Amino acid sequence: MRDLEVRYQRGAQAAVSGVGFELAPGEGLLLTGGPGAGKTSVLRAVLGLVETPVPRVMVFDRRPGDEAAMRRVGYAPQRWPFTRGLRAGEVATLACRLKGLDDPAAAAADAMRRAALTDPTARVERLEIEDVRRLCLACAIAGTPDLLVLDDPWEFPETEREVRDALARGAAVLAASADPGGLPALLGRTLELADGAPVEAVSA
Amino acid sequence: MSHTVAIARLEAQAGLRRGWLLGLLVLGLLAILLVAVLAAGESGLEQADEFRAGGSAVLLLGGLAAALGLGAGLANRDADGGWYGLLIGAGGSREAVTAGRLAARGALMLGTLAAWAVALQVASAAIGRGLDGPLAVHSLAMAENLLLVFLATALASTALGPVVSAVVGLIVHVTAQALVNLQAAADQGVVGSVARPVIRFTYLVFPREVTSPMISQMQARDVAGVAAPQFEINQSVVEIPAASGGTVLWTLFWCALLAVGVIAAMRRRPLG
Repeated sequence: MRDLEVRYQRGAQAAVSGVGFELAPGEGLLLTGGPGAGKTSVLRAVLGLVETPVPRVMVFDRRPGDEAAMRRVGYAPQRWPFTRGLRAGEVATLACRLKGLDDPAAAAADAMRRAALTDPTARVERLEIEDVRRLCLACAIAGTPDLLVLDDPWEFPETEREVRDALARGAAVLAASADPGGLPALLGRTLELADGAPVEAVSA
Repeated sequence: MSHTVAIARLEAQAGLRRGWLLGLLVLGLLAILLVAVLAAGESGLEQADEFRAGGSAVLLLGGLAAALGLGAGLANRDADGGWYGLLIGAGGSREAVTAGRLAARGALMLGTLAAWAVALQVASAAIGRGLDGPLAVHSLAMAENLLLVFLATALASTALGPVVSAVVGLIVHVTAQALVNLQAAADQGVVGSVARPVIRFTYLVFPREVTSPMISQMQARDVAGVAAPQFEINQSVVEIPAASGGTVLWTLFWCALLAVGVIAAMRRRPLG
């Protein structure tokens, strides 16, 4: 990613500008900054959820949002990102099916166990916030993604273990958090953003 | 299983668990029961008119509520809230996610309408009228009209909030009906010659409401109730003819156009 620029609804002011980094296999990067700094917008650009000029952002040598590239990505969104009426296990199974995993139900069950989700049969609108974050983590870690993208992850012991395991097997990890806690040490590199721009170069 | 089918199946499951839709379905069935009880007290043509007017009102009002509710919730909240982002981040394409959700919600709307249509036939048989063919044809016409409203509302929801999207859908419904009414008025010479080319142009270009033969005849006798009140213009009653095959096909074409429009609109929409 180089000199990224993100604008919403063709707005005059860029939500993000001048952000650039590379993430090699086995590397981690933490985006930090206060609310509105542009952390989530950068992650959305990586996933193709917002339009960005190609080829400024490339994911596995493909454009963001490319289906084949996205199947190698594990994404945990922030907040409560579901639609009403579904059960936790159904959400995780659908995510595994979209990833193209051989046995989506078994893969989802494994991911939910690793994320320590307590009740896969619970309706998503009735989940406690902690289980919401665990379900998001389960959707991200299902299978063996080559790139983990974690937006505002909660620092459960399971999060830390999965990030370590991902880095150890050669996957890249990109996370964003306003309150990073122990994540900088875990991921190795930090990029601080303010008003949509880097405050300083990537620090080790 | 393709991504579109997998998403549609899950979306339909979620829809069947939503309280408002189940409540609406049950409310419609109770209204049909009431219509049947009231019609049972009549006989002959009066019974047929009362039953069909009541049934048509349930299909129109309940169907509008379903079409507007399901269409208005297609995109905006779930696109900004992160659901689309989660599915695309897992490997689903924007097209597959949108098409799956659209298909599921369309099927829920048509399924609700079908349940009421079957209940009307059962109720008709139960009060001794036998199966009602003209009412069945009217149910099909309503299905097409409400599919148009649903898709217009869904398209609006890709850019607007749920309430405004529902208002847009309602405007499309009213406009499609108004075009048919005005064209009928022009054909019967009730409107001035200056306005006729404009009416003709808009009638030919925009989607039109499909009027069933049953409701056309009932409207002419002023017994159709809220489903089709008599239309007057310049103090003259205008008879609305039953829709031609061309109108049925034209409105279906508009439905297809709107469905493609929904998917195209979601291709570049920023997602949460």
